[in-house]
Amino acid sequence: MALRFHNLSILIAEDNKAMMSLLTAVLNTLAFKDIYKAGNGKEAWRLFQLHKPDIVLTDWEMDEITGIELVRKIRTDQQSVNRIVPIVILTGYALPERIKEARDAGVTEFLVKPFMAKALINRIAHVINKPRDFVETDTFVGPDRRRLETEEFNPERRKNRDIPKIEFIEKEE
Amino acid sequence: MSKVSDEIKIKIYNASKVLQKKAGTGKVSAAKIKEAEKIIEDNTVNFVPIALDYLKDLNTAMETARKQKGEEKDRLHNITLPIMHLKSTGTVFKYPLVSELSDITLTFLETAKKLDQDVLAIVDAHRNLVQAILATEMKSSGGAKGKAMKAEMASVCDRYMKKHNISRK
Repeated sequence: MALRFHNLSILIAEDNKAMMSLLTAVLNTLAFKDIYKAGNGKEAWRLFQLHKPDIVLTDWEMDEITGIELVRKIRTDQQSVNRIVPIVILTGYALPERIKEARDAGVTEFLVKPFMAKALINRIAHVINKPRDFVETDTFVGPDRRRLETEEFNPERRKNRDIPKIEFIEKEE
Repeated sequence: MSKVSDEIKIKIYNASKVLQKKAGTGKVSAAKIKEAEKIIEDNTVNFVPIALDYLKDLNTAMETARKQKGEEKDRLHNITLPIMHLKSTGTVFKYPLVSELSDITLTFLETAKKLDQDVLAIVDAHRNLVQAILATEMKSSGGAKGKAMKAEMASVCDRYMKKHNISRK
């Protein structure tokens, strides 16, 4: 089976016009129903609230509201129209601490620039094929981060640590 | 023994299947991926004015840094930003050497987290190299010359890290 994008909408937030054109052209090959384009974080938030896109693709560094601030706003703002929307962040930053910062802000997937078209498409396909549980605590709102922790899984550490109160919630729109 | 903490409350929502209902599951066809890759390969964007704008931002940030205006964290961020943008865009717009050199400098700046005269000299060297690449329209990786540029850049960054006892991340 192949993914069908004609029922999906995507929001792109990117302040470099040439990069925006290229991203749009690449995503047009997938035939999304709608592609919404924002040249800065503030406009991205406006379009997000207006159109409730299925997927968000955002640059990290943008004027007024950065990509990371946009992610936090989407995840935590009480007015947000879809706090669980998959968010892919695109950035030239690549150090592990940047990836952690993005993950802690609630990013779903991280893609380092310069990027290949295949990598971008694979990230988008991944958020559709492998949706993750969504976690809400006092300090974090976003996709379950344990996917990364399992790579360094330590059963002893897990056995000995405190188990927090967990409330499982079934949610389908 | 494990114990239950009253301190933290976690709500876990089951993974949403909404997108799968709309798009199904599976792969994106190889033909579509090839088509998308060709769009990037065939793009005719003139990278030079884009890069010159970033270099202009870098010049301004370096002037401010030399005058030691504002917080060091902000000065460093303002220098890092255009270099990160050069790294992000160079390869896509046919100047991979700009991306590769900027990657070296960006990693260095993000690891060193300092902004002294030596760091500014390294950033200066980076800027001069990028300017030379743009002036000579050195597309592709630049062959032996490109390799030498990258080796020199990496070496000068390594020397600084060793001198200041900073370990790589």
